[in-house]
Amino acid sequence: MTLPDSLLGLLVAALGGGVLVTALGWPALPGQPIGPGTAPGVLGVLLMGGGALLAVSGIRSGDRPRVRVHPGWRRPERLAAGLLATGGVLGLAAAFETVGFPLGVGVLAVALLWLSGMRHPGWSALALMGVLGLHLLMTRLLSVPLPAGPLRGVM
Amino acid sequence: MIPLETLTGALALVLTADVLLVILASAAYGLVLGAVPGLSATMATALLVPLTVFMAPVPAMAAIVTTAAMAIFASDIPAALLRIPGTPASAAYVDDLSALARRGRVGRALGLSLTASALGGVLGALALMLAAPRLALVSLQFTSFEYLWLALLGVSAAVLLGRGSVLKSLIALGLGLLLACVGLDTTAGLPRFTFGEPALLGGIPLVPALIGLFAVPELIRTLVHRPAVPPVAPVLHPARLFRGLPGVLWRRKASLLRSGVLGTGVGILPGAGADIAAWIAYAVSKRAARRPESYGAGSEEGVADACAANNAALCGAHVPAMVFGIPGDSITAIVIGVLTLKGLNPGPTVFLTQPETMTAIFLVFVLANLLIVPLGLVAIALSAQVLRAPRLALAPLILAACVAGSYAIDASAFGIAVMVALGGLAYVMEETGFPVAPAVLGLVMGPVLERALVTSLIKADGDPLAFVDRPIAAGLAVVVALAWTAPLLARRRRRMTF
Repeated sequence: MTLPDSLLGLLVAALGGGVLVTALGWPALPGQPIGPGTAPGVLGVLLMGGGALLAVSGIRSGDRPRVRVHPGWRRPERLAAGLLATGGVLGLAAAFETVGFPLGVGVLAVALLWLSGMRHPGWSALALMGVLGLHLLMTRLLSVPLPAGPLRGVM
Repeated sequence: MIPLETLTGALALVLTADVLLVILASAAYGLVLGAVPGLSATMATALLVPLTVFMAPVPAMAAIVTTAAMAIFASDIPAALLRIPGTPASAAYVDDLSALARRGRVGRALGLSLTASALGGVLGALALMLAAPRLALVSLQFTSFEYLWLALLGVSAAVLLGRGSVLKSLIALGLGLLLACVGLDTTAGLPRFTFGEPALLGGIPLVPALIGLFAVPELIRTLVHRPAVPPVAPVLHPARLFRGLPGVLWRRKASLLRSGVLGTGVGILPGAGADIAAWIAYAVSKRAARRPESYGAGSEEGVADACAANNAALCGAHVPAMVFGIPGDSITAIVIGVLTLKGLNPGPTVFLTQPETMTAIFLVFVLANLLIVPLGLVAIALSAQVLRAPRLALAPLILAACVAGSYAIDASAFGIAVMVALGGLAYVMEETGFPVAPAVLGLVMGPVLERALVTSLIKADGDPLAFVDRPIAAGLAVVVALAWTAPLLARRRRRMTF
């Protein structure tokens, strides 16, 4: 993905402006001119200045306001894999305690393998063994309470 | 110097079957945990504390020290093979390790990391052993002003480290520092940028953030871009790790020594741990390099210098912990707890009352760092099997490790969400030419920098000269100023030459 520097600069400057306005609204420490907003305020100014400079340099270099994405995103199976690795994991996080690590990550892993063209059952078996092994390592050896979900009685 | 009878007494405490067994078991444990992304050296040592209750002081400390040293080295293995730093200490040079691996030089990369880590660690251990009280006295003189300049030097390193545009590196640093502001403010307890989400009150969790910033973009590129990966040479034969290495190390002896000393010095400063030492040593190495443009793209020099510094810093951090009871980092905070548990209350008097035990603990540092070489070889040989599998087949397992690692630190699914969100941000940043490394350093250094800034502003009471009226603060201010102005002056000189 590529975005023109002029647009990126404007986005950064807008973020800096938002941070500065928010920080200015926070109260100072009693009897002091500084407080919780001091450091974010400085950062807001830094981002506004940096964003403005980036936008100006982008405009000067004559970049076009075009957003370009990597060709891989235009291929349906790769797009699905990318979305599964991000959105799918976010969805899993939302229901992590219910679905559990072995089942949730196991399904994601097999789906990713299929979308990536690794459809030999051996790869899926290996991935599932890896997920189960990781679960056992974390829960049994390190006492990390990774949820087992519906497999609670089995794991 | 240590009296001979103290040294022999200490050796008798260390060279026993149970201590050596504990060291071996802790080494294996540290290597495994350090190599699993998301499981930090701090987490590995913290998990050991319940076990140390049942041990004598020397094996207890041996377990902690060996685990930490091995975990710091082992974090370089996933950094090279998967571009995922096992611990934050590898973050500074993860791109170099990964680039070397992509070029089929994974053996050289890990061989350098292994030997430089051991050399730096031994150097730090010797410094700890011989000069602990004197070195600690220097860091005790630091006030918030010195810490502010030191933190500024650290974040300046982030921008110096940035490849490509300095402006984009600065903006990335700003984004990282902004992320560090999220959560309850330490001065007034005000929630900042939490958007009403209680899980954000504690700030952005560092481990999921690191996993997201470094691993997720790589995962997305593997799944979507599917770049052609050149075949990587296997590193199963130990000889391959060391082929040509003695010559490289000999040529770099001065810079390795400099990095070891620098790492020890940074480690001694409370709050500045192995990760900051690695960043600073890497930046110094880059500034002194003949080909600075190779840094971030597979620089052997950068890897060697940063590795030497981070293991040296691990030893250096124990100086204030053992001599004055001041933790240099989270691992030494655990060490102080273990020492107290064993009746060895850290402080100058413990060196008078229990000199043999303290010397034995120092010897354990040396031993643990020497053991990095043989045990690290085994760990590398086993890890190298990963290279034989296609990257697309590994992707689901990497994702599983990311999910487990992000969840593990707080036992909260919120960490998984943070990992994905910051991973998405890092992907967009890298695709649009913003380096991620400065953002990571901003996130790590943010709290230290803000605390030093606010305290210094209060102390200065409107007098700007207060920031430089102490000799060490003034010296550090000059170094920061030089760090920023030297590249501009060099560029101007080049223009005048041509």
